[in-house]
Amino acid sequence: MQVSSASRFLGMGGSVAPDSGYDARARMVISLLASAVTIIISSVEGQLVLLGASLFYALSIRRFKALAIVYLFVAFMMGLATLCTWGLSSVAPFVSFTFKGLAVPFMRGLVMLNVVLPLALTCRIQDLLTALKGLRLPFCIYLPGAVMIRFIPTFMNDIKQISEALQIRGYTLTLGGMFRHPLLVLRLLFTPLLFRSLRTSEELGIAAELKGLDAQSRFVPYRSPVWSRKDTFLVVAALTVVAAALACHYLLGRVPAAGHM
Amino acid sequence: MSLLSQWSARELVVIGIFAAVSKVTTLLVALAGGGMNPLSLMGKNLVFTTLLIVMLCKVSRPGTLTLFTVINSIVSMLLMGASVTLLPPLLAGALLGELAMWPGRNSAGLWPKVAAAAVFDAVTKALSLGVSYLLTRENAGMMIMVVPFVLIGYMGSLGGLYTGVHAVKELRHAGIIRQ
Repeated sequence: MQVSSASRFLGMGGSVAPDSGYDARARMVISLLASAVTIIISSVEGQLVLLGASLFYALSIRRFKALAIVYLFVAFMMGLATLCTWGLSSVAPFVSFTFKGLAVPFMRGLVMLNVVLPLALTCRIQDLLTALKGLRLPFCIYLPGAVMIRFIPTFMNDIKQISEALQIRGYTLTLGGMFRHPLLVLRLLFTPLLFRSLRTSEELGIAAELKGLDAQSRFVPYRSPVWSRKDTFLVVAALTVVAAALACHYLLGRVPAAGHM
Repeated sequence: MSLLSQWSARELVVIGIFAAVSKVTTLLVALAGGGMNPLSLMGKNLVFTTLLIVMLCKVSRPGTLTLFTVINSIVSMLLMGASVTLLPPLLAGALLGELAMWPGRNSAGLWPKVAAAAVFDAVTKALSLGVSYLLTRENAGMMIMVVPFVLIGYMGSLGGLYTGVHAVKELRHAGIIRQ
């Protein structure tokens, strides 16, 4: 049975990101590639290559303010971790407090941040759903995945509405309140959200069945994903950076850090 | 009926919705608590386990936990930059959880699902320590900071088993979960 489109059934909304110019699948490949390579490389030299290239990639989307805010937050978290490690190293001598020992884990985090930000800031929900469809995943993975991507912004909005409703009823949700009454805050926020999600799943499930969505359905995408020469160039460039980083790691920096490995 | 087509569209939607809710709530609880504070760490694990038990009771079919884990991992890896190294612990946890649920797969009871969630939490937490080591292997001393956080998170998961049982009982009483 041919159905119009799973994407149409899901009711597209929340198109807030500008057109990225690249296919979302190309950005996904880069994100996946980076997450694997950054684990393999354990030298500062190799990580520096990855960090430089990924920073250039992140800057290419020209969202400097967003990037600066995220970097400031990460710098704060890293500062805290450094302080904790320094404190621990002064109490327990077996905890090493070296530049190399701290720099590589931090650089791993920054590399991932640099590759995820362009994906998060430039791809519309519709693009992500189209890309997910383009991956030719089985129906039982595609449908929940599409529902998940589509409903993350909706549930964030739901939480906002629930907290506003609580404020009207005289409950003010503050950070201090979370510390003083964590169970109350959880109950006030979580219970309505649980009921809301159960109701949404019931309604959406019935709608899916009425529209005849099943494993045998043939989907006609709302907009076909287009893989252009630009996307191929982006992926080839990413592979070149990975090769360069691996070369730097094996040729320049293959010295066990801080006595480990 | 093949293994991959055993779920109806309605059940798949429930799995997707719960995957979205668990992602959003755990993220918000973590952010509201300022990242790494023990209370928010416990809270986000408590919420996740509660949601997991409710979902397993709503979609009472073998393989649901594994499918939920696979979907969560795929979306997290492709769109949220989660590390590929997280996939093996999650999959191992899900498969062992399924194994724990297997003897009671045909019963409508709550306890096989609780056992599955408990095994899933325990295995993923234990194996995530290995992943943490992989990420911070250049300074293995940092693991001293990781272990207490994982333990605190696991305490939240244990609390989630309790709240999950209560939530399912309430939802059954209200007729929202019918099995």
